[in-house]
Amino acid sequence: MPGQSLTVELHRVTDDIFRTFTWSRVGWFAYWGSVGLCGYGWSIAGLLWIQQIYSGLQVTGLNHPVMWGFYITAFVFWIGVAHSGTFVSAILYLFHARWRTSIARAAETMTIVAVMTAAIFPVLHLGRAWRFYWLIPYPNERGLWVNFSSPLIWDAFAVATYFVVSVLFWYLSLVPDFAVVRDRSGGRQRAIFRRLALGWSGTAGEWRGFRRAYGILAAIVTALVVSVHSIVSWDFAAAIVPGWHSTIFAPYFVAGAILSGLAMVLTLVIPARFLLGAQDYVTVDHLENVGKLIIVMSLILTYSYVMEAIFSVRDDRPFTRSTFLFRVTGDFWPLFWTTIACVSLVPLSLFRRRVRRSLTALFCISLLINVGMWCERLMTIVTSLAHDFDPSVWGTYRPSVFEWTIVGGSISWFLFWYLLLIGHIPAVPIAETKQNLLESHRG
Amino acid sequence: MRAEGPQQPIDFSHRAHYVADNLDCEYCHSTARRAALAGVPALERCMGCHRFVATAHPDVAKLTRYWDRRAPIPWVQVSVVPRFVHFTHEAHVRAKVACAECHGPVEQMDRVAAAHDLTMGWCLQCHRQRRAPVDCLTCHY
Amino acid sequence: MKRRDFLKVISAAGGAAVAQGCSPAPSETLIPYLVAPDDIVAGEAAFVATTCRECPAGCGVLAKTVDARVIKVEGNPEHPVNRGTLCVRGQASVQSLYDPDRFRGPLLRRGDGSYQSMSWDDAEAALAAKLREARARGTGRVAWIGQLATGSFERLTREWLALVESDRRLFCETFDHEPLRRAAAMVMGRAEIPTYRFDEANFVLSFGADFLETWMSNVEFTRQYAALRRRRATDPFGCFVFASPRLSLTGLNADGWVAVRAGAEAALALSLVHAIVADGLSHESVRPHLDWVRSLVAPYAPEALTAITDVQPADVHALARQFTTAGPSLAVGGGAATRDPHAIDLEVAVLLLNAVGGNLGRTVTFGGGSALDGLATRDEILDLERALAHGNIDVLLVHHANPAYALPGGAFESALARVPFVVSLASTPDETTAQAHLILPDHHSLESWGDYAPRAGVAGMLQPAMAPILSTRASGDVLLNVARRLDAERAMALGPGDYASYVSRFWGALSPSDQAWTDALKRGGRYSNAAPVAAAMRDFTGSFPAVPLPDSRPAGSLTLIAFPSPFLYDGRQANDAWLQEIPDPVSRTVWNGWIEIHPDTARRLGLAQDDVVGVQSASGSVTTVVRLYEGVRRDVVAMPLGYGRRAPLRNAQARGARAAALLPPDGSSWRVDGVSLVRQGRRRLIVLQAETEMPPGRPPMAQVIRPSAAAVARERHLPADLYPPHAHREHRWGMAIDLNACTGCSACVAACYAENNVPVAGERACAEGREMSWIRIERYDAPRVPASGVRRFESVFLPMLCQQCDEAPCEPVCPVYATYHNPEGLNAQVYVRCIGTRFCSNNCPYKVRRFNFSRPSWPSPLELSLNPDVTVRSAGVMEKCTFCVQRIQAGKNVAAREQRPFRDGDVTPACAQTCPAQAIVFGDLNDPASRVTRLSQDRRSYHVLEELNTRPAIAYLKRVVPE
Repeated sequence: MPGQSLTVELHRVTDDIFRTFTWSRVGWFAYWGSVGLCGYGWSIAGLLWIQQIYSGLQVTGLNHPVMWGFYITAFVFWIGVAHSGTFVSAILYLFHARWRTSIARAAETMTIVAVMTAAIFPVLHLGRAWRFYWLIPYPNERGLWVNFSSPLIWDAFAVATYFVVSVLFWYLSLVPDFAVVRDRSGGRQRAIFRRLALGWSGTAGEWRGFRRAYGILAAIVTALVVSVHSIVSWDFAAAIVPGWHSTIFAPYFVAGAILSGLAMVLTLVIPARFLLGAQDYVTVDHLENVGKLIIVMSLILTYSYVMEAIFSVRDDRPFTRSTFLFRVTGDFWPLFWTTIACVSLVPLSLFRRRVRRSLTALFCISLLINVGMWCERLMTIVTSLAHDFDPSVWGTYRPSVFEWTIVGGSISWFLFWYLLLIGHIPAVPIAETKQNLLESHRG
Repeated sequence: MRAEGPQQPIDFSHRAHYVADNLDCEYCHSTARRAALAGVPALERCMGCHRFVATAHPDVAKLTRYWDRRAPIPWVQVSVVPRFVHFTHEAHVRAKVACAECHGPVEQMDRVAAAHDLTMGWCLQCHRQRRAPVDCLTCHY
Repeated sequence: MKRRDFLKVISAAGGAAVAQGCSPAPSETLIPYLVAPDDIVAGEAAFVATTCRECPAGCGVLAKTVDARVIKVEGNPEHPVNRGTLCVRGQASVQSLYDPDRFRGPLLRRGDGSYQSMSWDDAEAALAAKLREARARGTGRVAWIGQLATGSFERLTREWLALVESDRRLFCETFDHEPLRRAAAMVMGRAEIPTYRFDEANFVLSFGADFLETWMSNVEFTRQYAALRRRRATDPFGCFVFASPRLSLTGLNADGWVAVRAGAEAALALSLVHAIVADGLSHESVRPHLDWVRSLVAPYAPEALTAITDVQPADVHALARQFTTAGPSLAVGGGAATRDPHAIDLEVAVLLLNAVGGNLGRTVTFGGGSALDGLATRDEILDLERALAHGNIDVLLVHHANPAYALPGGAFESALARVPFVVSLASTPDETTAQAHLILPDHHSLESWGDYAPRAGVAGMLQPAMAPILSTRASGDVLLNVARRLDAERAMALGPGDYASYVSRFWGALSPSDQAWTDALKRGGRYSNAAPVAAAMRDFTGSFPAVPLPDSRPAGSLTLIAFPSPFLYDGRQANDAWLQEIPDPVSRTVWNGWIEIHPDTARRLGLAQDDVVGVQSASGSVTTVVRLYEGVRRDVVAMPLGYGRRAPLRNAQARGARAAALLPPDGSSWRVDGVSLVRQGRRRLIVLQAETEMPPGRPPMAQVIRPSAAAVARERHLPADLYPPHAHREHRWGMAIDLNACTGCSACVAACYAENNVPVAGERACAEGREMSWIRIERYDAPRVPASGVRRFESVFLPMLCQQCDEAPCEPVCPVYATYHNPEGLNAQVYVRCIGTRFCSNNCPYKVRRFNFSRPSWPSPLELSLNPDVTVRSAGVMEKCTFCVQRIQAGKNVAAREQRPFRDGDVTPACAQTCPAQAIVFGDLNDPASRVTRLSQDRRSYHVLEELNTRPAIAYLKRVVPE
C-alpha cells in the first residue's frame, strides 16, 4: 500500500479488522440466520441421539462383526480437522512463516471447535452413554480404576490435553487484540472485553512475557499435533485386526490429519474473507501457500498408501493381504477409489500455479479432500472389521438414517460454534499483523 | 435399641424372640448354612409356637389371621443386594462370618433396619481383610 | 413333594434375575411359604426325573426346577436311551412349556366360528353329553387319533373307548417307519421295527436314514455312531457311506456320498446284494439261503441298473467289498426313500443286505419291542379318513396329533369338516384344532403324570416337574371325569382317584410310599435289558414283487423330495423360538423355510441365492426361498417338512412353505417328479454364516487329518511374549472339542440359550447380523469327486465359542476392566461394568462376543424360564461365554461344602452336558490327570488361528477323513 505513512496504515489495519464487528443489516441477518440454522440442525441430531439412548444401538447400522462405523469415523475425522489449526499457527510460527498470520486465528478457532465436535463421538457411540464417566479415573467406592493399557483411555487423555493447550494458545494470542477492542469500544462490550483482556496495557515487559509464553506454548502444541493423532491411530494400530494392525499408522494418520485440516482451513477461510471483508489481509498468496502445503501432505499420504499396499501384499500371513484385496475389490471398493481420487490425485492439480491461485478451484479441491479423507477413515474402519479372521462371520455395514443425521448434525454443531466465536473476536490477529507490517517496513 | 426399619405387615420383634426366647438365628432362617438364601421362615414355623404361645398378643392374632386365610405374609425386604450380585449365605457362614457383621445387631432391634449399605466397596474391604477372593466373577456373572 | 405349595413360592432369587438385569433392585417383598415343602430350598435347584415327549424316541430328562419353575431340561444319566444327553429339540422343550401361544383354558366354538372360554366342569359336561348321544347311535361312532402312547395312557384310552362302545384308536406319527415293519414281516416274519446297534458295527451304509437328526432315536444313535467313529478313527476308507440324492446333516457326516437317483435307492440296494453274492463276499451265515437270494436278485446286476441308479458298477462293487470286509456292518434305510412307491422294496433290500453281510443278530436284532410298532398304518388312517368323510364318526378326539397339517394334500382336512363334534386335547393351536368344536387343553408333558416305554425293558416315567401355569387339565383326568359323568358304575372299572393314581396303580404301586414306585420316580423309570429273540430270514421269493424301474424322466425335469427338518421335526416344534433362531446346520438359514438347489441347476434356471421362487407340482404350488447347495443332485430339489404352519403361532405362522402341499395327496410319497420353479424376483436374506468353503490361502479354521498322518506328532506353534505368562495357581479351566465326533446337531447351542438366558433376537435382527447366540456351529465343506470310488463331501463342523484365550486380544482394549483375565484362566465379562465401547468384539479374532443392540425381552410366560443364577443383560452391554461360570462357582461351592478337593467332572458346562456325541470335554488344565488335559495333548489337537498367539484354552481335535 504505497504512498501512505506507516501510522496511517497501522490505523487502517485496526479499522479494517474492526469492521468485522460492525455488521451491515444484510450481513447481520446472514450471520444470525446461519447461526440459527446450524443450531436447528444439531438440535435435530440431538433429539435422535436421545432416541438412540432410549432404544439402544439397534437404530444404527452397526452389527456383528462391524461394531464401529460412522460415529468412530466422525471422531477421527474431526480430530483430524482439529490438527491444521495448531499446525498452521504453531509450527509455521516456529518457522517464522509470516503469511500464517492472516489465517492463524481462523485456524486456531477451527481447532478448538473441531475438538469440541470430535469429543462428542466417543461418548455418543457407547452402548451405555450415561456411564461415560467410567472412562475417567476417579476414586470410587467400588475401588475400580480405568485400564491404562486400553488405547481408548490414552485417547481420552490425549484429546483432553490437546483441547486445553489449544484453548490456552488461542486465548493467549487474543489477549492483546481484546485490549484493542476494549480501548475502541464502549458500554457493555467494553466491560466484557476489559475482563477478557486481563488488563493488558501493552508495556514492553508485557510484550516480552507474551512472546516467551507464546513461544513455549507453540512448542508444546507442536509436540501435541504429532502425539494426539498418533494416539488416535493406535486405537486401531494397537488392535490385531488385519488392516489396522500396522506400524505405519501413526505418521500416516498425522499426515492425513494435517491434510484434512488444511483443506478445512481453505473451506472456511475462503468464504470467510469475503463475509468479513478481509481480502487485503488474507491474500491469495497466503491461500496459495496453503495449497503448496496441501501438495506436500497429499504426497506423503500417497506414499503411505503405497507402502501399506506393499506391506499387505507381501505379508506372509494371508489375513492382511485378503483384507487389502477386499478393500480394493470388495463391497466397499467405491470408498477406496474415491479416497485415492480425492486424496492422491486431485491435489496434484495444485502443481499448476493457475489452479493454486484460483479461489474457486482451491475451494472445490478442499471440499473434495475432505470427502476423500472421510471415505479413507470409513474404509479403514469398516472393511477391516467386515472381513477379518473367521470367514463364517464375515459381514457388511450400511449406515442408518440415525447415523447420517447425527454425523450431519455434527457439521452444523461445528459451524454453529465456529460462527459464534469467529463473529465475536478479531478474525485476524491485529497485533501480529501490525508487527509483520513493521518488520516489512524495516526492510 | 430403636432402629427405624421399614414398617412390616406384622410388628415382629427380633429382639423379643432372641432375648426373651433366646432363639438362634438359624432356628428360623434355617437354610443360611446350606444355601444361598438364608430363607424366610414359613408361616408353619411361626404357628408351630404361636398356636400356644402369646396367642393373646395383637400381632400374634394378626399372624393367626394370615394363617387362617392361608395367606403368606408380605414381609418387606431390609437387606437388599442388587440383582447382578450373586451372594450366597452358605459360603459366608462357612467362612465363620457372623450374621451381625452384615446384618448388624438384629437381636437388639425391634423393627429391623439395614445396618450397612451393602455396597461393593463395603464388601471388598472385608474380602481383602479376610483374603477372600476379590475376583469380579466371585459375585458378578 | 407337596405340589399345592408350589404356587406359594418365595421369590427373592426366583424372580430376581428376571426383570432388568443390570439395575439395582428396589426393596422387594419376601413372600414366604405357608408350609415349607421338605424337598425344596428357596433359590436352590431341584431335579425332577421325567420323560421327553417331543418325539417318539422317549429320552429320559431331568427337569431343573428353581423355586418350583422348570428353567432347563437335561438328559437323565440313568436312562438307557440317551444316557444323560439331549438333542436340540429336547433342549427346546422348555420353550414349548412356556409357549406364549398356549391355550389358557377350555374353549367352545360358537356358531360364528369364534371361541368362548368356559369352565372345566361345563366343558367336560358338554363332551359327556356328545359322547352319550354318539353311544346311543351305536358302536364305533367315537374315534381317537393321537400321539403315540404306551403303558398307562395306552390302557386308559383303550378302556375308555370301550366305555363309549368304540375301538377306533389311531396313534399317528408323521415319521411312522411303516415300510420297515412291512419289510420285516416279509423277510423275518416279524412285523416289527428292528433294533440297530451302530456301536457294534464297523461300517455303516445309510440309504437316506437321518439317524443323527430325526430317524427313530437320534440321541441314542448319535452316541453309538460317535463310539463307532472313535473306534474306527484310523480306518483309511472311512466307516460311513450315505446313499441318497440329497446330503442331510447325517449325510454331511458321512465319509462317502453315493448320489443315487431319487427313487432308485431300492434298485441300488438290490444291485449291492447282487454284487456281494456275485463277488462271493456274502457272509457264511447266509450260505443256506444263497440259492434263492441269488435268483431273487438276479435281475439287479449293477451293470444293468446304472441307467436307473446313476451309480457306476465299479463303485457298487467297491462298496460291496467295503460293506462285507469290515464286518459286522450295518445298513439302514429311511427318509424320503421310505415314503416312496419303492419304500418296502428298499427296506427288504436293506434287510437282505444286512443278511448277506452277516449282520442279523449282531447289529440288527429283533424282539426289541419298539413303541413304534404301535403306530397306525397308512391304510388305517385312510380308513378313518373315509369314515370321517362318510359321517360315520360322531365324536373325534384329537390328542397331540396334527393330521390336518402333517398329512399331504387337504383330504383329511375336508373329511374333518364332516365330523359333527371334534374335540382337541392339544395345548397349543394347530391346523387340526382350528376345526375343533371343543378344545380341552392338556398339560405340557413337563406338567403331567404318565409314562412312555420307547422299547421293551425301558419304561420311562412322566411326573410333573412343576404345577401347571395355565388353567389346563391332564387329558387322563379329562377322560376319567368324563367317563364317570357318562356311566358311573362302568367307570368303576377305571378305578378311583385321578389320573396320577391311575398311573401309580398301573405301575403296581400299593401305596405312595411303595419302595419300587418311589424308586421309579427317582430314577425316572424302570430299566432292564430285554434280550433280543432269535429271528431267522426266510425265503420270501414268492411275496417279493419285482422292483419296477423308476419311471424314466425326461432330461432336465426336476424331482422334489421332502425331508424331515432336523429342528422343527414334522413342524410340531415350529413355535419354539430357539429352533427358529438357531441356523439349520445344512442350509444355515434362520426363521424361514427354503428349497435346496444345486448351483448348476440354479444357473440353468436363472436362479440365484436367496431368490424367492414359486414351486409348482401336480398337487399344488408354494412360495419359498432358494438355497444353493452342492449336496443335492442336479436333477433334484429338496424342501424341509415342518414349515408353512397356518395356525396362529407367533413364531411359526406363515414361515416358509408347507412342502406337504406339493406331495401326492394320498400320502404315498415324499417324492414328486416334474416340479417347476419360477423366479418371483424379490430377494429375502434368511441366512447366517454364509461362508461354508474356506477362502484359499488361509489356515483352515476346521482342520482335518488323514489316517496315514495319524502317527505324526503335531507341530506346536512356539509362543513369544513380551509379558510374563498368567499364573493360574488353583485352576486353569479348559475345553477339548473332538471334531471327529461332532455331528453339528446344534444341541449345545440350544442348551446354551437355556442355561445362560441368551435372548432371542428375531428374524429382522438376525438378518442384520445381531443374533445373540454365545456358541455357533460353523461348517466348512471341501466337496471333491475323486478319480475313482464314491464321491466325497468333506464337511467339518466347528463349534465356535469363546476360546478363553490366555493372551486374549479382547482384554487389554477394554477401558473399564469390564473384561479381564481371571485367576482361573477365564476371560471374565462383567456385565454391570460394561459401557459398550465394543472394542473387545472388534479385537476378537473368533468374533464370539455378542452385543445387546436392544433391550432383550421374553414374551410372558417365557420369563419364568430364565435361569436365576445368570444375570439378564441389559441393552448396550457386551456378553459372551464364560464356560458357564455359574456352574463353576456352584461346583467349587459343593466341593467346599463336602470339604474335599475339586474333582475332574465336578463341573460340566451346558454345552458339554447335552452333547449326544460327547464331543465336548471340560475340565482343569492344571490337573495333569483330567480328561481335558490328556485330550489337549492328543496328536490330533490344535488351536484355531494358533498363529495369532492368542493361546486359547480350547483345544480342537482334528477330524479324521479317509485317504
